[in-house]
Amino acid sequence: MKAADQSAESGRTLVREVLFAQLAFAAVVGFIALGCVWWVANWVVRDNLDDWAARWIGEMESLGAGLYVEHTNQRFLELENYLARFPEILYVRYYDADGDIIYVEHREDDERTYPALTPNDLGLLAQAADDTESHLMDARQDPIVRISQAVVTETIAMATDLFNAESLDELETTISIVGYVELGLDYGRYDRNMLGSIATGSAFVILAFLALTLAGRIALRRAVQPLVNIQKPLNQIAEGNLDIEVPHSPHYEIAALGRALETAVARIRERDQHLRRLANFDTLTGLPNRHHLSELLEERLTKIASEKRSGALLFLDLDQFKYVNDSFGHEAGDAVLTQIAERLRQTVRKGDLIARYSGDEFIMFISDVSAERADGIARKLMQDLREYPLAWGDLSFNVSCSVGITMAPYPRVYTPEELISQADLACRQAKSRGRNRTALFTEDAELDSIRNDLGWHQRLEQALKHDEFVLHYQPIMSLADDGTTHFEVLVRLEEDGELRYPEAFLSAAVRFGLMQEVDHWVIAKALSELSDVRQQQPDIRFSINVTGSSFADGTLATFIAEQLALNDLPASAIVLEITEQVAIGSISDAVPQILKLIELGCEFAVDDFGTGYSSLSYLKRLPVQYIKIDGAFIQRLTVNRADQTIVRAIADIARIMGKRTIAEFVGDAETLQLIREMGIDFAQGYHVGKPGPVPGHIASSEDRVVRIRPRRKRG
Amino acid sequence: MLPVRAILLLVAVAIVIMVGGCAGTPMSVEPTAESPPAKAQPKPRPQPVAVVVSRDLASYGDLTDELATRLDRPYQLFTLKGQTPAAIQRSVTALRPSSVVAVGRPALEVTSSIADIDLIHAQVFNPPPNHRGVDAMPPFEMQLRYWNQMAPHVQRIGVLGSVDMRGVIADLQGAAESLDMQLVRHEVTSDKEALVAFRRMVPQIDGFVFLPDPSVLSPDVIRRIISHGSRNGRQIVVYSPAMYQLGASLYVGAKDRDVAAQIVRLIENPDLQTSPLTEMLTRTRDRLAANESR
Repeated sequence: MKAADQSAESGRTLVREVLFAQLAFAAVVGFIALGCVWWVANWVVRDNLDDWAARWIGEMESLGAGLYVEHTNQRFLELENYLARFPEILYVRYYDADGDIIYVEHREDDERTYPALTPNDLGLLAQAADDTESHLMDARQDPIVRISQAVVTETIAMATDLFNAESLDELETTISIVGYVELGLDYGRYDRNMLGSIATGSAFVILAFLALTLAGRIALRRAVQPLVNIQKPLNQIAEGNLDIEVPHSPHYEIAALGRALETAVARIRERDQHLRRLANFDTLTGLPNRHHLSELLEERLTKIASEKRSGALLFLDLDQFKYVNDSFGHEAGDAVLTQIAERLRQTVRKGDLIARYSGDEFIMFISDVSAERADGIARKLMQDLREYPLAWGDLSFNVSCSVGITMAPYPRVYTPEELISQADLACRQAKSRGRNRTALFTEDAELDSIRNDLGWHQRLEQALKHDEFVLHYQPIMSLADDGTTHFEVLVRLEEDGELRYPEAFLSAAVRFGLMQEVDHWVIAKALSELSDVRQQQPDIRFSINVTGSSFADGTLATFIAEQLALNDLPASAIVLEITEQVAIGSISDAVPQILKLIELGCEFAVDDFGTGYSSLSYLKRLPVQYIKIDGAFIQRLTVNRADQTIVRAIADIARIMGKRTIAEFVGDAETLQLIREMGIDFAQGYHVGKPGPVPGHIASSEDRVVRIRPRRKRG
Repeated sequence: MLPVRAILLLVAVAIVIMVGGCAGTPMSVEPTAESPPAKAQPKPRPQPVAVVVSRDLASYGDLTDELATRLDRPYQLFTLKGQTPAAIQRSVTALRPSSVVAVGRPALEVTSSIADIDLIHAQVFNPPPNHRGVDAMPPFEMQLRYWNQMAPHVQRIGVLGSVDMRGVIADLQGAAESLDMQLVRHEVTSDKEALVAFRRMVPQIDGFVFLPDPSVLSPDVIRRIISHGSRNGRQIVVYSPAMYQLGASLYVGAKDRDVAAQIVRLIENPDLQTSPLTEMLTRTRDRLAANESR
């Protein structure tokens, strides 16, 4: 459930909470204020009442009520009138000097009885009589307070001679108690009045506050209405709609919020565009990427279909591009790709589609072309790449490519994916035919491919079952002494008297899960023949290619150990060639087995170094003893400075790491001389020796003319 | 003649000093200015007069000075200050004076118990009965007439007093009636009652004769009566310097020379019970200087 929905269900609103907080705060403050008012007012009133009480008792003492004035009705009337003016006075009592009550005046509406002064009280009053202002206050019957005072008369001593006195201060006086007066005061009357006043005042305050709260609610709702109005554009943004209209507000805060929202929308729009671009376009070349290609292609196909037009889709795969990337780094690779993209742009017309399909694969969709014209465009592009090398700094690269072409006819038949798949298939066919060429997709070719795959499955199973694989051995010459005791084992498939090279069947073996069986067959066969060869030449060693599939179930080391034992061979008699992927350990199962075999005594060589994932920095981490430099670097070594630099660097680093290097594809004496100068340890290639069967071939390894077709090793 | 008289006067003074030297702290004074002329045959030595003053007041000093000038016989001055009544009584008795002049009520109370003396009081307000003496105040008729001249609108006069003041108030009643003035009188028993009575009396009177009656007055009540009367525009006549200081309208007193003359008159006329004053000393708020018109 969304937070907004939860808020809506809970009924919480900002206005309500602000008002609630305001009310709660006001209530707390109000209660505190009322308490303070009550306490202060009570204190002031009590203090004031005390003063009034002192004044009243003084007045009562002056009124005398028979203590020192005559008992006349007038006096009592005065007393009654006085009491009537002060309803707080409940009663007044006069006592004579002996403590007997001589006069009592009660309020008419008060029927309560109050205790009279005790002899002890009278004694205290008599002791305090010298001070005419002194009185006793007794609040034991709170809120009834009793105040009493002695009534005294004062006379001047005859001896001090008032008649001749020059100052009253020199006169001596004597005080006589003539009686006592007592007042009962109802302090509770003030309490009740004050409580009533506070209650009335509080009621007014509460009413006023409620009215203010109502007004505040309206004002707050008005104030936050712009905030509520912002909810709509926010919801639109949440739904992905950035075409919103932010309501304007005269309030600074809301206006600022609106501006911030507009700014945020603008930023989101920019970011959205950026993300769309990142999602749809290749950041390096600026071309649409694989994801966007489908959309664009669908649009394009729909468009040309609606216009009753046709088109051609070209799948372009760069040949050996990994060499550039791995050898000179991604910066060089990126530069090459950028330039190729530019070449592609220059090749096609405006309005044609170009996309980067994957790392070194591009797709072009060209409308209104025939198959011949599409093939011509592809060939022209390939020719340009050949004739005009790509440059990066001081280096230049001759990059070739294979192009697969498929036609998008009218009426429309294929989806974008189907067209891409067809072109890809055609491209693979072009590559399988030797790279740097074009191939046009036909449905027959597709059927052939499928049929070919199914045939290879049956063929491989049959070959394994009937030992129809053939091993050839190509010498690897030590450049230290030009001796040849090291041979690489190469697998061939004999079919109708012809030998099929691995390119023809290994991919099918991988697809159908037969690669491990092929590896095991090769290992068993090679070790068997090696055992025979070593009978005559004990120092002969074989290099055997092992694919990653053989490491999958973890039995390879055991299998090799068993085969070595079976053929009575030392582990040092073989060198296992693995791909970079296996060597670097990306296959987790491989590393423990490699280490186990090394412990056993086997040596390892990383094959086709420089074409895989590895960089030079991997050299120090590879658990191998040999680095086999890929032939792509050697073939044109004498004319390509970049290749020279790469090979020299690999050789130097490998030497420092304590590893030995093998150069493949050494095709002439000049190349051999050059790699010798570069410090390469071993050489392999037609110039050194062509592959041939064992054992006669090994015995006559000087025979260097076997075939001139380029080989393709497994893996 | 003058040198002879001077020689005789010196001899008389010497005799007085010799005789009076036996008293406590007597101060003998020989009459001078008003002494009778010397005769060829010396008269028998006259008996001295004892003058006892209540306190060491300046006014008493003026009075005794006046008295000294009028007496033709030696006299000895005693003051109660620093002396016990018994000591004073012993000293006075030992002097065997022809007359004892008691100035002020305390002096009268001390000397009234001395037997077989001719006791004359002065400056004693409302003295006990059966005592000879000079009136403490000028006659009320004189006072009221003067007051009437000063404030003709004062026609209704109030007075308060205890039972002891009935005689005084009766005199005042007579004087008022003689001048066609109305007297509102009230007898009270205490200072508080006096204050209540005065407050009730104020609406009925134009002026108030404030008798110095210590039995029904206290300093506080005196202040409040004078204050209340002043606030209500009532003129108040007082006979005590202390009461006049509190804001009374008119002070009436006796002149020292008049008192001294009346004392001498009583000394010389043993048959006279009393001797009224013939002059009046006044002080008013309007005219602060002493009125010595008479």
